[in-house]
Amino acid sequence: MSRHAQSYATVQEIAARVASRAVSAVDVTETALERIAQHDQRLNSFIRVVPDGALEAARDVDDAVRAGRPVGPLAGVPLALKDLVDLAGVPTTAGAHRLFHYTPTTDASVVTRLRSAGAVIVGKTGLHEFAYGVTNINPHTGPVRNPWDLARIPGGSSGGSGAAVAAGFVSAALGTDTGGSIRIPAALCGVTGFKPTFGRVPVDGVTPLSWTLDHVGPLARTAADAAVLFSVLAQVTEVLTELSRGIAGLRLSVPEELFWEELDRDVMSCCRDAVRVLTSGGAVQRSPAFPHASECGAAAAVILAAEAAAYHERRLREHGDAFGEDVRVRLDRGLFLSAADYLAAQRARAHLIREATQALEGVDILVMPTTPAPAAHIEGDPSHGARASLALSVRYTRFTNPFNLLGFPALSIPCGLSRDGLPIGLQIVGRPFDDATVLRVGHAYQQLTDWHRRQPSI
Amino acid sequence: MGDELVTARVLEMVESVVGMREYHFSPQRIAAVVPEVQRLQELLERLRALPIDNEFPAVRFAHR
Repeated sequence: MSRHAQSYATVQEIAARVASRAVSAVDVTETALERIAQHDQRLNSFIRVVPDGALEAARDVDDAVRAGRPVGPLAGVPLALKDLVDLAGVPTTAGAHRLFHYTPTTDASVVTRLRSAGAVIVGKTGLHEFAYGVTNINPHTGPVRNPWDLARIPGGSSGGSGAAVAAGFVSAALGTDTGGSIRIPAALCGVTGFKPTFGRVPVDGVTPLSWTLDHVGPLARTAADAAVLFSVLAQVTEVLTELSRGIAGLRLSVPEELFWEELDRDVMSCCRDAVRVLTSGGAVQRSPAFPHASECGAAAAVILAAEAAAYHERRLREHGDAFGEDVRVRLDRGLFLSAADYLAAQRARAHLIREATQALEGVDILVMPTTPAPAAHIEGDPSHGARASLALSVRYTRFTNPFNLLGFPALSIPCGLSRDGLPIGLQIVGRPFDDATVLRVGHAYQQLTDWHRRQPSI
Repeated sequence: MGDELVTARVLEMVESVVGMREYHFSPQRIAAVVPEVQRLQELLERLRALPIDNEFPAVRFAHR
């Protein structure tokens, strides 16, 4: 296998090759580190690379393989962490001002699980400041750039993770998703991103943004790889056994209201084609109502504003000037919500979850675009930046944040390229705790298409 | 209610909270946050129109 092919190999391919001694984990790691060193200056996808720790972990995997010990489903697989996930001994920056950095002494639970499965952590990726925005234009670290077009945003807030996977630096990366922050960069960078059902993956050791809406999940090349990572992160196995069951007879809904409105023409065309592929694969289209879908986004916005302001209130009081302008405005606004406002949004959440769960009893999955448009340009004018950032957040999270509120599992998979050569994502949403069906549909689509194999030239 | 009146009401509320809680907000920061606070209040109006009078404000999210 060439070095380029190795850089774009899947998690499953690398783990199998390492376990069978076709390649050593050290070789795989060195290839990843060299590629990052060679290309990441232009992309800025990593905040920190940890070559020593990575090579030590890779040597441990190789030792285990040589000794015939079990090595786990991620043996020797190079992975990156969004830099708000704690990695023991390495500063967690959350993409924020240095006043707010700290060095954890223990790994986040998700990191412990990844390491136990044989993963090699190569570094920590860039994000929108405190994960509160979709552009990844960051005054403290500089912008992360989209590998498909360096003048464009990668999406966010897990933009460094999306860019690093798309650029072939790592096979997969961890992201967090509070309003779409795994799925949006997955869509805009042409990779696969999975937000599991709320609560299935632990969030301890991960800097919070909103306790009600935060999810941790993988960005990867394929739905099958996302399933492997999810099985490790959530410590469940049924998702892997169900992956290849196909989609014949599955009931698929295309909710026209809200989710298929005000779309870029190329997004509409590619996502319509994707629905046709799924129905040609045996899925049956149904059209039940999805009532109050836009109110899901409204409740999510209020809860996010209140919880983020609560988490950051002390920092705002003591070091308000250390925040970027757009994040400062987002945090400030939450200070003016009352307890009654917040509880109204939480009561709306309870109502909307019950209503959506009942409304969707007749279907297995919902299908819609992940974002209404491909990646936007990185704007250079700082005075325009805060306003543009706020507007882009509202625009790009419109189809994703309802499922943070509802807690339903949601996957973004590549489904085409725009006329400008930019990736477009299809979102597949399932019922709560039916993560397996969502991943299975994504896998079936990727058996019928090759959009997930497209690579940017960097 | 006219847009200007709504904005003035939101501005009054923001200034009152800033004073009461002793937040340090420059006039520029107040100007930046008012449209966002107004947007959240509009969203809340929509949420309060839902039938939530008998809802408990917590969801037990568990595998059935």
